[in-house]
Amino acid sequence: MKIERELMRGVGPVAVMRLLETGEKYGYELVQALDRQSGGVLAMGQSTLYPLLYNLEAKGHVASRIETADSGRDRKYYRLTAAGKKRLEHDRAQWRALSGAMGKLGFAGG
Amino acid sequence: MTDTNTGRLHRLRYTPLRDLLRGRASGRLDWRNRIAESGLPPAVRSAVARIVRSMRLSRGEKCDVATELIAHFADGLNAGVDADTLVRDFGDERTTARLIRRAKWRQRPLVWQAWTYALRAAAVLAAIYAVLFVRFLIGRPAVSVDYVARLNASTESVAADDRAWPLYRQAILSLGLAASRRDPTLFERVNETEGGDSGYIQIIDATPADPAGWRTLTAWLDAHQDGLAVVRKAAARPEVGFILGPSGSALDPELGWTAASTAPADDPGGGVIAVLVPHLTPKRHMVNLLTADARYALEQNRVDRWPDDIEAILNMGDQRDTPMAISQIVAVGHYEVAFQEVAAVLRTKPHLLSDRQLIALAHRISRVGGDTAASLFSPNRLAAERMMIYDLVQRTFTDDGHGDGRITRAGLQKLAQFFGPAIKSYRDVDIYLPLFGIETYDLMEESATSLTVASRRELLDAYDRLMDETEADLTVPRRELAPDSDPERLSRRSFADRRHDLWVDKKLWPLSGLIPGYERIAVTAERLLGTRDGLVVAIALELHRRRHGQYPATLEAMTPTLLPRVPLDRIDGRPVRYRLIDGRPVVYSVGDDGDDDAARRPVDRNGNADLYGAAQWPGATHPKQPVTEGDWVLFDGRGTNAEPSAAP
Repeated sequence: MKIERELMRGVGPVAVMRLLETGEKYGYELVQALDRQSGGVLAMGQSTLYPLLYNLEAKGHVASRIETADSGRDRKYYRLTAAGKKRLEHDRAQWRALSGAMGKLGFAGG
Repeated sequence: MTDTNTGRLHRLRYTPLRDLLRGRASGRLDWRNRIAESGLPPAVRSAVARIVRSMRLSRGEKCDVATELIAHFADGLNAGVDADTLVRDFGDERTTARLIRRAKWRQRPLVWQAWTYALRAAAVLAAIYAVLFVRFLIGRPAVSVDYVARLNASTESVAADDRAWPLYRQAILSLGLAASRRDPTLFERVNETEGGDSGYIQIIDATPADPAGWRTLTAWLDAHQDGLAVVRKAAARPEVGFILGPSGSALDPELGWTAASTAPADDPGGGVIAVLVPHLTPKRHMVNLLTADARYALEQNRVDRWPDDIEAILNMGDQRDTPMAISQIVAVGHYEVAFQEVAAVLRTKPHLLSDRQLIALAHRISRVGGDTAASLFSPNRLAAERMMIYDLVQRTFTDDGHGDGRITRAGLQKLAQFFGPAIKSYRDVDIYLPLFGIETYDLMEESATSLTVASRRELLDAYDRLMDETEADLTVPRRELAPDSDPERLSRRSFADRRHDLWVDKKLWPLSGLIPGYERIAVTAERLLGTRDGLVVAIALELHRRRHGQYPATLEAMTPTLLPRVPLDRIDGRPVRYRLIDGRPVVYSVGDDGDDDAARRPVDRNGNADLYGAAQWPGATHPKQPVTEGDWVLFDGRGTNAEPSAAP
């Protein structure tokens, strides 16, 4: 199932920050993790991921570093900052409230 | 895209300054080389290159993104996905480039972002200015109403026999008052630099005390009785009938008036504002000659001609002339001349007038004006003042067909001409550029200045509001507009306050210099009406003296037999004051200070008694006008050559 673009715009940053909560990751790794862990529901267009990461970086929610991989190629790793963790907690609480409210309205999984 | 460029110059071009300072031509900002050397399949390399190229970012930012995308696709290939699938799944390249560009911009420093927004704002403003500039350049006024014709319409509707101008014109020529045919006896000592017929008639003030001058004057009067008779006849007609405009009465070569108006009909400087009223000067001359003739008549004991001359002068004041403030001010001047002559006779030779003549004179003088300034300066008699502004606006603003429009370039230049260099004193935007000693307009500044001018509708609405309020004020005695009078009127703003409003509202600046001086008009009218009241009382006093052998103790003693009612002091609203000084009657107002100073006039800076020094109305003309000590004497019976005796 493909999520509507407008809905994904709100979900995407939270999902990416949630994935980074467990440790730093690089771009393609995030694409794969989103696809795998959300059962394909949150598989965002790959072109969307990088602007999303840059925006989070501009807001100070994530930070990045370049590391040269075994292949000799430079790879950019992203990690959650303290501000990002705070933001994620805030978003998580909101999502719980939203999910609960939707559940009470009869949407399954609430 | 697969070719790499490793030339030294090329590397230098893509080397960051920091590396160059360290002596290294790293070329690490060369994103093209980076993609080319990535080892990715051609389809992927092309896709990455297209995205990076269209991002419109700095070389460093492009390099960062290129590095990340190379890693992304390499990771995909390593995960077993084929190149075409990777490129397809990546998404729309243009959208990606746009989203990345925006995200990268957000990462840039605040200073850069502020600068960018400032540049954008400047660009928007420049675009708006460009549009307004073009709009300003193409704006043209449209003259749709011929206000001069409209003003003339009421004059032309008057029957020819009721129009005085043909007779005045005949008299001007026969009396030698025309600029082209001046009588050297009248104007011989006129300073030629004054030009035309604007000079003062030197022999007018001659008296028997100056035998030579008196002989010249009386000889001239004897020789021109026919011409003066024509003036009296003209004065008896209700309308002057002077036709305004380029082809009107002001174009009269025989009188020496060769250019009524040189401005074309659609010129901003044409129309009502350009009309000439050259007849006002010879009219003043004719009034002066009638006054001289009246004095001569008394000297000859011709008490039949004296009233005729006075009546003619008063008639010239009554006569409806061009509906302009200047014409009405001149008309009030005619009344003043007549009043002065009557006052002089009452003071020095009242015995020459019979009771019947005095009573007729009192009735005639009472008919001059009413109780307020509006009786002399009615909207009907000032119609040209509004039309002048309406006409000027239609010649300086565009017309959208619904009563609105904007200032035009030609209009702005015309307005600036009226304001002259003073325009700088209350304008935020300079439109005067002194260049090589010539006041030159700069087009760019003019277009910017046009933004500081209210729209046609705003301007006219403000003007009409001001004129409505001002004209309403003329219907109220000045004393009721003074700040310390009726508290209910305190909310009414003085004319000065209203004019000040125009100066405060910068967008209305074109109006601030074009409003006629109505505050002076009102004061002029009040002074004349006060003088009129004083004369009527003075005539009653003379009649009382004749009947009872002495002046009354109070003015009330004469009512209603000789005086219907005691006139009210035009300053404090109480009955006018009266007292006998050296046995002679003096009628007066308490004056500006509100105190009875026993008919003592204020003294001017030269130490002379100031006739109208105390005839001021606090706050009516200027909120901070200083109070003048002393009284306003309406009639002073003291004087020389008094011969109080019974009338024949």
